Amino acid sequence: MSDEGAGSPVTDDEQLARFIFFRKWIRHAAPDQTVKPDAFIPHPYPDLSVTRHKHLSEQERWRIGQGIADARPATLYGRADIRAAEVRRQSLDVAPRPAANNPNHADVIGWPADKPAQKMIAQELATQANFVRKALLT
Amino acid sequence: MTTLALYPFSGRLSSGASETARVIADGIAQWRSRLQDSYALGQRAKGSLTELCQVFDDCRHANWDGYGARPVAESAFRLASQFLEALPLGTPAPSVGAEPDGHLTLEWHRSPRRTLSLSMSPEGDLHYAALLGTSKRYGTEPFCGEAPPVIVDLIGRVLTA
Repeated sequence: MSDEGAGSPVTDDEQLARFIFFRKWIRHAAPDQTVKPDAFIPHPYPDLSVTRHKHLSEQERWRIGQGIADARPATLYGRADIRAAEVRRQSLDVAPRPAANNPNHADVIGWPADKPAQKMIAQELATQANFVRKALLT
Repeated sequence: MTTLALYPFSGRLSSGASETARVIADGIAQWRSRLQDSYALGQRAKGSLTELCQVFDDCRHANWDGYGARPVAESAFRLASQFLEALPLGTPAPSVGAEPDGHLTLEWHRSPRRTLSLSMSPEGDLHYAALLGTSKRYGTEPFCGEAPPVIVDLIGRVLTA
């Protein structure tokens, strides 16, 4: 894994991953599994925690997700990938917040305080997100 | 003359109603409860209440989502159960979930842009957000034992194009 550019500004074309640790956040009935808006509600922090794909191989992304799962502990089911531009389209922003165990960590910031407005944004993000089922690590 | 004050379908009674009205309301409530076991009409037989119980069980402890989520309170579970049973008979079953702030969610999803998500708070607030093609609707309704008409209308609009 490279720390190169980990704290650099997030560009619109960057992909962001929201790791999914709760199985009911996935629509299993859909032909292609999709993610529910529940996965994008920011709590308990005012911001939403994501991981930038930047400079990470697919295997490194899963290793970060699995590392987070192991530390909590939780079960990693997959991740919801979304472009930073789609986040900004909802009047939110993405701030790099490198962490010791995840140099690519970032926060989606600028959320409204009221719950219905958060839900509406989460709905829009869910429509743009691509669910990726957890891959087996080798 | 005593006014018979029933709310449609639910059998709930306003205060000050007569004994006769209470007997009728109890009868309606029992009739409605039996219909919940009907596969065609009721949420109970469709498995919604079982799914709700499973989600509540999964989410009654802190950090159930791995991000530090708040536990789902028993009051949110009880209110969500009541809401499901208050839906008009024949309403398709929602998918049940939970949000990190401890709210239980009910989702009616037909496609990415025809979808409705409800959150039941422990205080009985029903927060909703719907995508209906290019338009969107969101807000909060109090849950007082009746399914709010705006919610019933949105379920219908999501599921019928």
